[in-house]
Amino acid sequence: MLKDITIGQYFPGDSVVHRLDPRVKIVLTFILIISLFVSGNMLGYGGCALFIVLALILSKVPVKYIFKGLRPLLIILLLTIFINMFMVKGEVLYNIGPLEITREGLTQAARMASRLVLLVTGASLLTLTTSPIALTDGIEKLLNPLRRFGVPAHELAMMMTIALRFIPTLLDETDKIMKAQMARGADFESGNLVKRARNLIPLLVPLFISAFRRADELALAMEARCYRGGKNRTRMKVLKVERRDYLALATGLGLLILIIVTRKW
Amino acid sequence: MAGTPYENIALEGINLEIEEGSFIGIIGHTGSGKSTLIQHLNGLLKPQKGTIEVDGEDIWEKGYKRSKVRQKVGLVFQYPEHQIFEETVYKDIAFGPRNIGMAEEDVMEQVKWAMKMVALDFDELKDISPFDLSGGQRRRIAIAGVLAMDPKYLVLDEPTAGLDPRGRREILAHIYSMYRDRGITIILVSHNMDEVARLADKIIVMEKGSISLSGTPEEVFREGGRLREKGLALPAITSLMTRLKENGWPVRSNVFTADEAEREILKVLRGNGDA
Repeated sequence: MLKDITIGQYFPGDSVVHRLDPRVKIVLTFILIISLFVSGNMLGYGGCALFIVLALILSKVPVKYIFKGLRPLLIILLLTIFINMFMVKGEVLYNIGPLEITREGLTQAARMASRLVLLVTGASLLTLTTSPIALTDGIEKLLNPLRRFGVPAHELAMMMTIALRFIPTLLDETDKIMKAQMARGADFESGNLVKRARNLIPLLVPLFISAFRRADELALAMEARCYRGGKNRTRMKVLKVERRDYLALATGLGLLILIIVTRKW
Repeated sequence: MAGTPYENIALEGINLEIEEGSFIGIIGHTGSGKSTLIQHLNGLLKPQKGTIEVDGEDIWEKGYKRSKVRQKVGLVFQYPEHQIFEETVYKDIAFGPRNIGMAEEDVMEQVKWAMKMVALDFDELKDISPFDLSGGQRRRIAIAGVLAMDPKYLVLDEPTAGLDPRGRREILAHIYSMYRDRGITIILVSHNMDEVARLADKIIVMEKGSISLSGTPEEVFREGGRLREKGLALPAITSLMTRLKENGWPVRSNVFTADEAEREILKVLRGNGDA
C-alpha cells in the first residue's frame, strides 16, 4: 500500500538523458513548464509533446513508468475535462439534458488535459532520470547566486537530501509500528472519519518520537564528522556543463522561442 | 510485488506445529524469515498459499474474527518500547485489553497482573509517563502491554536485543516464569544460542525462508557441524564441552547450562583424583 508511491521515483540508467547535467535538466523542465503555459494552440502542445517523447525515447525509461506516474492524476484530469466541457459557454454541439457541450468547451477541455498530462510527464521524466542526490546538487548550484540575498542554498539542498533519504526509512517504521499496534488489537481500517483519525494516535506518537530520535542521532553523527554547513565544502562529483548539455539547452530554448513566435497563429 | 523484479519469496514450504504449553526457540540469520514467520502466527500477514490454524481453527477462514487471534496469540515485536505512546504506564498497558473489548475492572486486574509478571511496581509506576523511564523498564512495559491481553500463546521477537546482561537475564526470567507458572506457550525468536538452548524445549532453525532443522536442543545441537556450515554457532557451553570431549575428556557434550557443565567437569576431575 505505502510502497506504491511512484512520484519522484528514480529509474537508474546510463542514457544521454541520465547523464545530462542536473542543472540543465531542471532548467529544461522549467522551460517546458513555461512553454506549456505560454502556448496558446495545439501546435505549441504538439511541440512540447514531441520534445518530451524525444527525451523519453533517449532516456530509455519504460513508458509504463510514465503511465504509473499519471495514474494518481486521473481523477483531477477527468474532473478538469468534464468541468471545461460543460461549463464553457459558446456554440452548442450537443445537449445532454440540461448540460450543453460547446465547441469552445471541447477545445478548452482538450487544451487543459494536454497541458496537465504534459506537465506531469515532463516533471516525472526529470525525477525518473535524475538521482535524488544529483537533483539536490543541481538545485543547490542553481540557488547559489541567490545566497547573496540570504537564501540558504546549501542548507535547503541538504534538507531535501535528508528528507528524501528518510522517506523509505519512515515508511518501514510506519509499517512496523502499525503492525505492533495491530498486534495489540488496534484497528486502522474501520470506523468513521473522526474515529479513524483518533485511532491514528497510537501510530503517530511513536512515529514522531522515533523521527525526532533519528534526527538527533543524525545531527550528532554529522557533527562527529565535522559537518558545519556548506562553507568551503568541495565535492567528489563536480558538475560540469558539456556539449550535450548545451545542445539540450539550445533545443529547449528553441522550442520556447518557437512557441512564443507561433502563439498568435 | 508478485511478478515484478522485486518479487521475493520470504517463506516457503513451512510445515510447523506448535504444541500448547511448549517453549519454542526460533533461531536463524537476519533475513532467514524468522520475523516473517511469526507475523503469520497472529494474522498480521496472510500467506499466499497454505493455511494457518490456531486451536484448530483456520484464522483466514471467512467469519473468523481477526481480534480473536490477536488476543490468543500475543506478539511482542523487536524493540517493543518503540510502540509506546500513552501518557501513563497504566494507559499504555491497558491499550490492548481495551481494544479487545475487556470490561474496565478486568482491564485493571490484567494490567496489575501483567506488571507483576515483569516485576514492575503497579502503585509506583501506573501514573508515571513511560517516557520518563529507562529503556529496560520501557521494554518491560511494552511486554506487559501484550501480556495484559491474556494471550494463550506469546511470541517474542528478540526480546533481549540491546539490553545489558542484567536486563537480558531478568527479561528471560520473566518469560520463563510465564511459561512455567502460567502455562503460556512461548515462542522465542533469538540470535542468541545460549538463551535458546537453556530455555526452549524445542528449537527451530530457519534458513532462507525454510525450516532447516528442528527438534529438542539435544537433537539440534548434535548437528554441530551442520549448524556451523550455516554460520550458526553452538551455545558457548556446548561448544566447550564438545571441545573437551574431542580432547579426550569423558564428558557429555549435550550440556546447555553452566551449572550442568560444572557438574560434568567436576565429576571428571574428581574421578581423575580418585584414580
